[in-house]
Amino acid sequence: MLTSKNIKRQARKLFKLCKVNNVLDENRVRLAVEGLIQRKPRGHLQILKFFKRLVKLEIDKKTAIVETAIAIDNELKNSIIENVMHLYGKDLRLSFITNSSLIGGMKVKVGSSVYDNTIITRLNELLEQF
Amino acid sequence: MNIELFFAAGSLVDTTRETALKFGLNLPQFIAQVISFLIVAALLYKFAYKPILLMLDERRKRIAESLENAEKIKAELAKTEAARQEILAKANSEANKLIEEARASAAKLQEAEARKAIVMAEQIIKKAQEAALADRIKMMSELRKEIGRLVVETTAKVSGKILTPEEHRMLIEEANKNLISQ
Repeated sequence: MLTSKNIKRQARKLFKLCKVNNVLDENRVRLAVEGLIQRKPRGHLQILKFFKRLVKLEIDKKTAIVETAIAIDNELKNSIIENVMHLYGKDLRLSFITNSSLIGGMKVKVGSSVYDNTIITRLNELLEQF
Repeated sequence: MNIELFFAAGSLVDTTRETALKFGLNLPQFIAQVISFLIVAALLYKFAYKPILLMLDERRKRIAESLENAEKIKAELAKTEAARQEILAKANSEANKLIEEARASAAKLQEAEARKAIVMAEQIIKKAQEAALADRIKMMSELRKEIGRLVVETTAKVSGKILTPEEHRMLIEEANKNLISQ
């Protein structure tokens, strides 16, 4: 029976092997998962579970979600992409979402980091002050 | 001198004899009467006078004893009276002392109770004031929240409708600028 510490260590080791130039390689991830499933080493399910978590965190870290109240044109989109990449790195994957409940402004979420400059948030802050 | 006395005595005897003859004195009868008188006197002395004297003496003694007893009783009475007065005075003093002590205790107790009541009243007032203040603060807070909620809700509704696409763009551009400068 592998301990939780060992499982985490092995999952991290596998995760590191899936990186090329410090960037997660999809093919390697796929190969690692398939290899684990085929060989079924001791504690492979727990290793896979923790590996999945690490991959998800990495994907989240490299994914930026930009929310605005209305749809924006390409010019503004490019400007935002440029700024976000400047801040969080070039290997980001950006997706734009329209959310009218924001009322106005923009919200950017990268991994666990959130930049919120929307009217609804400001109003909520104002409400908190009340 | 002695001759003169002798003659004087001789004349006195003569005078006595003459007087006795004048009064009809019969010497043997007189002597018999004297003897009978002495006998009677001796009998009276023995059987009447002596017991009476004894009785009188006894009575005198009894009276003296009675008087002495009366004096003793009087002294005892005086002593008892003095003791009674002393006890009475002492009892009065004790009673006064007790009354004073009781009064002092009562005053002290009353004062303590009054102080306690004042403290309790102050505490009640303080608690009531605190409760009123807490209620007021709570009410004000609720009121502020409600007003804030209404303001925010209204602002959200109105601003969502009021903002033009240009204003939306401006807001996004501003947010984009702030993103870089953060």
